[in-house]
Amino acid sequence: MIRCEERVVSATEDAPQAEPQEQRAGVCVVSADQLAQIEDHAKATYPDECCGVLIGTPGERVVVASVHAATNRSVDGKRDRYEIDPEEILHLAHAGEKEEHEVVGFYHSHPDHPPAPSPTDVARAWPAYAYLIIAVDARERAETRAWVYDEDSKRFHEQAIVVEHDPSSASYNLASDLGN
Amino acid sequence: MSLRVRIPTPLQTLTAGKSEVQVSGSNLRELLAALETSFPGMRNRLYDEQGQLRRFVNVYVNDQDVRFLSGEDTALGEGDEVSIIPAIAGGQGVER
Repeated sequence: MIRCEERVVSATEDAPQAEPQEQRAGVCVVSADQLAQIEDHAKATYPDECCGVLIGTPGERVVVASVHAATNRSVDGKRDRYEIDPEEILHLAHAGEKEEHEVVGFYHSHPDHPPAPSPTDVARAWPAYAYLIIAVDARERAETRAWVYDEDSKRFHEQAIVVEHDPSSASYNLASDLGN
Repeated sequence: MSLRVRIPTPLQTLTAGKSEVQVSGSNLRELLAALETSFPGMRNRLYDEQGQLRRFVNVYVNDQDVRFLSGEDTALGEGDEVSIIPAIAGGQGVER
């Protein structure tokens, strides 16, 4: 099991840095396969941003049961923006109910940028969801970090990603063309 | 007539963690008002200062976006399900 340190940041280098502060942001539990699959999605869509939906159990300890690639339908350009069709989210929410799961968060990539929320991410953030951000570059290096938005402080706080090696729980569904 | 309403994770702090609730309404406007009565604070999350449904909140009756039905006047009947889906977007780019 790999555990990342919890720390608090507010945005990338283009935005003011947060003062260090102690604040729990919970834990995001994923399987090694799920993590590999979202990073592969990010590499496949590079230099455009990829995006997807996380289905599982919410709470202080978010447990991701499955990850689902989504179509990036941004009309402002896919190189540095993403947008997920709410109907895709709706259908995945309905499907997850059979297993008593729900939409617990989303993932998207930052081609050639750090895996930390940008001012745009902050502006469009919803609380309680786990946001996985994957930094990816032309050499196919990828790094994923998890974030949760706090409405009171109006900033993201980093969640620890806990990777549990359980292939039986790994589930990946390609909901759209990887080429985006 | 009690209808099923799906509540997304960000709004579940208002419903004591419930991902679905039952409220009544013959149309969407009545249902959302009932939602506020049962779960105070919901209206502020769903409506803007002009009393319009927020741009980044999507409401579906069954599998149809109410923007393509009759908006808040959308009639509701037995067996209809209402889902609240936040608009999800972002990215590394600057606001424009």
